[in-house]
Amino acid sequence: MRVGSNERRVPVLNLAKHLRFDAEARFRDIYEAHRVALRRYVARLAGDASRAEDVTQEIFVRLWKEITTVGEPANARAWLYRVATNLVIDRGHRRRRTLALILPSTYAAPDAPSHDPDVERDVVRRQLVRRALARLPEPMRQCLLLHHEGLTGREIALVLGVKPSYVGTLVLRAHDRFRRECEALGGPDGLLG
Amino acid sequence: MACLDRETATAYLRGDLEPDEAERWAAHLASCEACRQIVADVSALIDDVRQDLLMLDAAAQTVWPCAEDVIEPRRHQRSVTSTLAWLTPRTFAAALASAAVLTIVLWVRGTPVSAAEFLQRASAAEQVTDRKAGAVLFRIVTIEERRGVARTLVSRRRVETWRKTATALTARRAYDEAGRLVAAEWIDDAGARTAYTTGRPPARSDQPPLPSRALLRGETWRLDLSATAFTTLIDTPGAARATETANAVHITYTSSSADLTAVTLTLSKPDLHAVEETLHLGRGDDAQEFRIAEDRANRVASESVDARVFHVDAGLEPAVAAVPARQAASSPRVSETLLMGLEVEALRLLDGAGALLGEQVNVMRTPAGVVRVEATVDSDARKQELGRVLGPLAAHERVDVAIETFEAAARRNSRYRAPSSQPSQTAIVRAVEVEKDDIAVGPLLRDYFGARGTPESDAPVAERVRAFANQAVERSRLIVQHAWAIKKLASRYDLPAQRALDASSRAAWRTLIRQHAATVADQGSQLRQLLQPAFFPEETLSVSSPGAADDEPLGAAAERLLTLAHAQDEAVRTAFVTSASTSATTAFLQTQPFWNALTELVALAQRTAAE
Repeated sequence: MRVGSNERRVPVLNLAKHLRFDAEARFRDIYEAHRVALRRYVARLAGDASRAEDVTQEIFVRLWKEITTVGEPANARAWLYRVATNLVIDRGHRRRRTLALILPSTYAAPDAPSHDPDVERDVVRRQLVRRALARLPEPMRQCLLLHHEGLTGREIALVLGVKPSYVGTLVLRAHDRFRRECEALGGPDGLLG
Repeated sequence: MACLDRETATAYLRGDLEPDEAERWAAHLASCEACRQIVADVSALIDDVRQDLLMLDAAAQTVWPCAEDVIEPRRHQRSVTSTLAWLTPRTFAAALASAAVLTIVLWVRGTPVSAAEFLQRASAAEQVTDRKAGAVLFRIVTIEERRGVARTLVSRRRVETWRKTATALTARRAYDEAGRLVAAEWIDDAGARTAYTTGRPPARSDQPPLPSRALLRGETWRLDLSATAFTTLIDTPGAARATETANAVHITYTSSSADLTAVTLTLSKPDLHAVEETLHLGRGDDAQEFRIAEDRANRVASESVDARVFHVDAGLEPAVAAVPARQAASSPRVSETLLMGLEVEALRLLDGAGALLGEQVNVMRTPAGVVRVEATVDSDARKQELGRVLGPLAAHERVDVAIETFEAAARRNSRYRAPSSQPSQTAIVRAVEVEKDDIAVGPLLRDYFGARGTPESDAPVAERVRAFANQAVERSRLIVQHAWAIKKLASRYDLPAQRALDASSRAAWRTLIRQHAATVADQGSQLRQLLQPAFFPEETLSVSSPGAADDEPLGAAAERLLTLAHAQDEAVRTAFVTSASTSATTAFLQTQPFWNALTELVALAQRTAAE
């Protein structure tokens, strides 16, 4: 059965009760398959791991609503990452590194301070990566992270609303830019100087 | 054919090109050194960035709700037993450009591929990774052993492996749940192996153990998680079946033999890197299941690795021998009510020490009938404090307490890294720099304080703005912390579980929740008092009296409270924290919805505290 403009969707709209079982099974499969990667994406994109759990759960609640009302999205993975991207931006999680001048230091530092040089170096490196990531312009940051979650070109194009043929270029530019930002931050006056 | 540009090389590596185009480039690459270099450079760049990103996820750990909780959170709140899933960065670190090219070409073609072919390609990729000299592969896997029809968890081991590429040199160490070294194996350059296992003399041999024999002797920790080892184990790859999902290929092999009945290997896409293996031995009550899952895999330049990781530490042999064999879960089952009582007591003690406010603390009932308390804390002092607080409880035979410091946890992961040749980083301080020295509501507050003069204080306006902001942010932070504690406590027991609690434990649990709710209500009220004169002069401070007949379940109320807490915190932080991205728009904090949310938060907290 194809329903007008919804023809790209698998019809689960039929509310017959036995179909609910299918919907649950489908939901469970998608949840199990994507939750770990999705949470990682959200944490990296938001630059704040502490709230990724909530955001991820919110995404799956929306997916469940979508499956039971409209139907399973044609490309569930692209759908999940698009919702994730929008949600993170909507919630303002995308703040550039918030400079917690007036916050108590325990709140500001995501990494516990340490006197172990190894640990310290890791902490500095992590901080550098976070800041370099935060400095990437909008579509580049998402593109870089989506690439590292293994999304296909078509999926990235769907999430970001760009042409599939442009994805390769965007991925490369994002990596180049990220490297440059790292070098700028880690240079003589920077974090690792 | 013209040569590759970097953009096309990226699309090629990603598998985004049309199949025929990809094949044309593959043919071109075979004959063009310059293009191979371009592909290798891009691949190295991407790989570098991947390593950086993995650092962000290091040591992150998540408790996942089960799918049913997401579907209908109110009907099925059984998150007590929700799966503890390690956040496993499905790392592609082990793949080299050549291996990636190989598998992507295979992937792009889209034709069904047999299990044997997948195994062959995955093994080939492993060999390529292994042969390239100059690197050390570091890998952590977790091995879980389950028994019987009920699949009771018997043990969990962490196995760390260091391997120098292009040589046989390998060190493997197995740790138990408490992080104690229980077994180890060294393989020297010549391939000679020495295995140390608790309670056994060191065993030396020149051959790798046959996987089937290692299994039967309980030496699962010596098995490699790899396609090569899997192939040896099943001996007839032709009989295995492959199923593909979006992210992975699962290879399953079943046998009628009494020993090994089924094995499943999971290869991650696109690099066909082995990430998980499940082995089933025996049947019925004798059934054993081993799940070997990769937690982490890194490729490190060998110069940066301390050679000592490959040495038998002088003290190790006796250390291994001295560790007493842990009793498996053979003791009779104890009542769930008793365990839940112990659990509540642990929560109560931890709460008394303020450990439920955002510290990394986990209290759980294990399948083996033990309440396990795990905590990772900031300092030795805190470790001792929690140890002292939990002391009386820890003496109980059904309670297992493990507290370690972040430093120890971090050192456990990086203890073999060579010290940095760079000067010590004082850069942490420099990291906090001022990019824009004002807060979003700065102008408004300066006007406010300026207009009111400073009757009771001579402090300059800027100072008062800062104190005001500090106070707001601090109260908001406390609200989130306590709301979070409420959520964690409330979701621990659903209605049936609450009935299973004995009366005093139930009362203690409710008291914990009430206390946190009272703090939220108190801090919320004070935040309203603070903000009202400057931001909402038209509003009153009264909160509509809590509806007594509201039958909102506790779990749902806790959930809503946390959502409101996060919402107000977001607004407060955006308004009061200096930020590089602050724009000139009106802060959400100044809007009516914010005030309403804060009012609702206080009302809800008051109601929860009164129940």
